[in-house]
Parts: sequence; C-alpha cells; structure tokens
Amino acid sequence: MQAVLRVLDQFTPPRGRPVWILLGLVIAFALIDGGVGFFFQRSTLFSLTQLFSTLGLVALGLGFVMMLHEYDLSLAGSFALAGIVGVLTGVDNPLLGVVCGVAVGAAAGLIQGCIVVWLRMSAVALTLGGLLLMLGITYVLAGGTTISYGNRAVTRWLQETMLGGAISHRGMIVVGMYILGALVFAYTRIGRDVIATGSNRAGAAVAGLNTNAILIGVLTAAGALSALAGVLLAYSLGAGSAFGLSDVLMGATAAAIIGGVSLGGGKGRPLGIAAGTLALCLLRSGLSGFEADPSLLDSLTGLVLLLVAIADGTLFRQRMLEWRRALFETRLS
Amino acid sequence: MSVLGLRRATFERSRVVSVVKAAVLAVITASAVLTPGFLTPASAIAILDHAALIGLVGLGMTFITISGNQLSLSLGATLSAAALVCVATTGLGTWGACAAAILAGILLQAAQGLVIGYFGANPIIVSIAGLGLILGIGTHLTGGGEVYPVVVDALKPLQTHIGPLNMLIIVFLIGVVVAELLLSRTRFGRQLIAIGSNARAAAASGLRTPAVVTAAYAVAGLFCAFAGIIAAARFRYASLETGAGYDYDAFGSVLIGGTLLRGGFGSAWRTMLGALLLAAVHTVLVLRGYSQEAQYVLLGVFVLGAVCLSSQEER
Repeated sequence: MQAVLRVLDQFTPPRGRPVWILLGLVIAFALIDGGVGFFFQRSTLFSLTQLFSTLGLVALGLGFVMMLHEYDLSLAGSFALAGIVGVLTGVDNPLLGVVCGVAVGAAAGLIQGCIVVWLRMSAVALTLGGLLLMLGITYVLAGGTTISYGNRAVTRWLQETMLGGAISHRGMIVVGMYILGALVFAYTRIGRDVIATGSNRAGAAVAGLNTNAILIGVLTAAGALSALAGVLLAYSLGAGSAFGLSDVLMGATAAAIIGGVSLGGGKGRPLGIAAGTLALCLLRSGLSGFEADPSLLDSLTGLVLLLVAIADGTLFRQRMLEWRRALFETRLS
Repeated sequence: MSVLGLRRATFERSRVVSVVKAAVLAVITASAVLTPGFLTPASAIAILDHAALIGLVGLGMTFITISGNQLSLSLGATLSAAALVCVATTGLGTWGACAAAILAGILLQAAQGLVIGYFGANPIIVSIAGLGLILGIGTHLTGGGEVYPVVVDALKPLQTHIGPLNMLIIVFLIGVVVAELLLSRTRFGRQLIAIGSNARAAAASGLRTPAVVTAAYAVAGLFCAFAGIIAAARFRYASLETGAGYDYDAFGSVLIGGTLLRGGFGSAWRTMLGALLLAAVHTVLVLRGYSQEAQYVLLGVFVLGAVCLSSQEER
C-alpha cells in the first residue's frame, strides 16, 4: 500500500507538475500532427534524447544550486572549459580526459563555494567572475577556434545508438547519472539537507546542519556535472569550442524551473528536473520536426523562462489579488 | 562575540580592502608608465575611446546595480538591437534613425524593469530570458548576418569630431554628467538609492517601487541605445554581435569604480573611473602585445576581484 501511494505521489500535483506538462506536450503534438507522422518518428525521438543529453546534466547541477536559493552562472564556463580540457588531454586515454575535465569543473565549484562561504556573499556576482575567467581560459586554450578531437573511436562509440535507435550511448550515460542523482537524493540525508538549507538557511543551521558544507558541496557537484556534460558533448561532436551564455545556461535554467525547482529555493528533485528537461527538449525537437525556424525555438525558451520568472516573482500573488479585487470592485460599481 | 570584536573584525576587513586596492592601483600605474608608448596623446585618446564604449553601457548598469538588482545580462544584446534598429531606419534621416534606436533601447529594458519591479521577478533570470528573446527574435529578423544601412549618408553627422574628441567620447562625457545629475540631484535618483538600500522600507514609506525600477531599467536602455547608435555609425553596419560581451566589461567598470553590489550606493563618476581603469589596462596589454584571449582572462580576474572586494566594503 505504502509503495502504491509512493508511486501515485510522483504523478499528483504539485510534485507531478513536470510529468503532467510533459504528457500534455506529447498529446498536444500528437493532435497537431494528426497522424501525418512528422512527430511520431524515430528521428524526433533521437533528436529529443540528444538534446536531453546535452542539457540534462547542466540542468541537474543548476537545479541543485537553485534548490539552495542560489544561482551559478559559471556552469556555462565549466561546460565550455571542460570540453576543451577533455579534448586536449583525452586523445590517448578518453577516461583521463573525462577525469581532467570533471576535475576542472569540480575545482571551479569548490573554489567559488569556499569564497562564497568565506566572504558571506551571493553566488551570482561571484560566479559571473568565474564564468569570465573560465571562458577566458577556454579562449586561451582553444586559441579562438575549435579544436578537433583526434580519437574517432570514442566519438563513434558515443554517437552509436541503442534501444532501437532511440538513444545514443552518450544519452545512456546521462540517464545513468540522473538515476544515480535521484537515488542519492531520495535515499541519503543529502537530499533532505539540501531542501532544508534551501527553505531556510538560518533555520537549518540552528537545527544543526552544516549549511556551509552543503553549499560548497552542491556548487562542487554542479560544476562537476556541467563539466561532464561538456566533455561528453565535445567527445561526441569530435571538437571542443567556446559557447555563448545563452546556449546552455538559458535552456538549463528553463528546464530546471519547468521541472519544479523554485527560484525561491527549497523545492525540487532530480526526477522532476529530468521531466522538465525532457519537456523543454520535446518542445524544441517537436517544433523542429515541423521544420520551425531554430531561432524561434530559442525565443520560445526565453519566453518560457520569462513567464516562469514572473509566476515565481515574490510579488506575483499580491499582484494577482490586487487584480482580482480591482475586477470585483468595478463589477460592483 | 562582543560588539567590540565584531567592530574590530569589520574594521580590519575594510583596511584589507583599501590595502588591496592601493596595491592593484600601484601595479597598474607602474606597468603603464613602464610601457613604451603609453604616455602619448594617441594612447590617451585610445583609452578614452575604449572607456567610452564600456562606460556608456556601464552607466546604464550603474542604475540597475544601485536599484538593488545586481546586474543585467541583456545590456549587450540591447546595444546590438538599438544598433540594428538605427541602421535599418536610416531612411527616416539621421534624427529619425536615432529616435527609433533610442525608443527600441528604452522599450527593451523598460519591459524587463517592469516585470522585475512589478512582479518581484528574479532580475538575473529575467535578463537571461531577455537576452534569449532579443537574440532569438533578432536572428529570425536579420537572418543572423550583418545589416547595412539603406541610406549611408544618414549616419555621417554621427561621425563628426570636435578637436581630438570623437562623437563617442563626447556623448560619454555628457552621459556621465547627465547620469550624475539624475542620481544626485533629482527625486528619481534619491528614490532609486532609497529602494536599493532597503526595498521593503522604501515601499512601506510609500515609494512606488515598480515605477522607479522600471525607470532605472529604461535609463539603462537609453545609455545602451546611445552606445548602439555610435557603434552603428562607426562600423557602418550592425549585427547581433555588435554589443556582445559589453555586459561583462560594464559590470566590471561599475564594481571597480566602487558602486556597491548590494545596491543603494554608487555614482556615475565611479563608473567612469572604473571604465577608464579597465581601458588603461586594456591599452597596456595591447601595447605589450598580449593576445585578445589573455585579455579575457584578465577581465575575469578583475571582475572576480572587484566582486569580492565590493562584498566586503563598508558603506
């Protein structure tokens, strides 16, 4: 009985919101498609999982940071820098490249986390500095161009499809990381501690949590996760290059928020973020299945982000009440 | 922990901040003076010119930072959008094109300010959404390429010089005076500083926060539009890349000048000094033959340092 309730809980609001958004999108696309077959084809599914494997880990890391009511701009820097580092160090031994890239991202998160805790400052501005520094180092290493990755076998293996062409090996690695994240979050103290710290940091500290260690740990993990995503993408593309801010971070933020992470902190979990990322990727790959202009897809992500930022605003409820009252009073008079 | 101990701790922190600042200034001055070619009129104009472009965006950012909303990541995109509008509307004549560009800049930023002020939305997320929307719609409209003016002569009056000073430097210097007057001599400036110091207290004492925050973002859009118009006139074309990355230099110049990250304190003079310092460092690096990439790294170090110092500063 307890187990059934637990499963049901995953699909009922508010926890189930991302799942319902995802289902709603699938049904909407199916209806628009009307049996023509633009949407329900294997290539749409594959492009969906490919988008997911690029965005998913950054969204997961950023989601953890946002659960703490913080924000990390430097994840875009870790993503780009780790890609270059992986390409440079991992030609002979791809695992060494992964380790080096992830170590760079983790170190960036660790250092920034320590500074944030030590100077008692907000992470946003500091991580802007971290982003600039890492993008700068990326430019220096890449010399302003893209660097191609010499190990073709690794590129081929990561692009190889499985499960009937639905997902690549790279996608499966990302799915594996999500499962790991979800298990750690659900069955260890870490998940509870993160949520408690994000809901009320001072309260959590009074209750005996080492909130500083949690903040540093989460920033480190987020840096490592984005770095892993960067290395995997660079390996899979066979090249590493510098990215713009809007390329990864905007999508990851939108994905995390759709996935039920609150900008105010204290809410969210890995499975929700996975559903949110899938929903965003579905929106993109579904629309590109109908051959929409890719630049309009970017604006759509921006629009989604803007709407959620409004709905998550600290004054949103108050304004809605004011509007309702104004409407009511005009009806009376 | 006694009150005395706390006071001593903050006193020591602020002393550390001043020592670090003095040391950095000394190093920069020494390396500048020791760089051949730095102390020439040509390099002085180059520094002013570089500082003016960073500084115009920085003046806009100053208003956002003082309002307590830290920073905007969409100012560079707004600059590009204004430049594109300016180039695309040259058919309306010089002043028509300028007016259109200014209107575009103000609208793009004021819309974000309205959302932030009225709904209490997270300023960073809104600015990232704004960046995505401007780039996405802009790419759709321009095809992602460069846009050339229909009437090239319409941009001519914007390329005039007065003595050694070009239009960019003149507009920047006027902008500094105007921004300083706005901040220190008008009711808007005082309200902005009050809201940045303590938004809840300001709202409780009857200030209309949404209007003031929207106005602050509109002013930021205005300064970005000026920078965009002059960039369009100088390069004789515009693209979405025109303003890319200026947000970072601008934010750097605001913090290096000493405007506080937490809001409620700052001035246009400070941003001008910050922009001049960044431009001087840039010129030293260019004269010493460092690559563009190395300059990105140094900008990152500067912003990191400025952010850390700014968070420790006493009001």
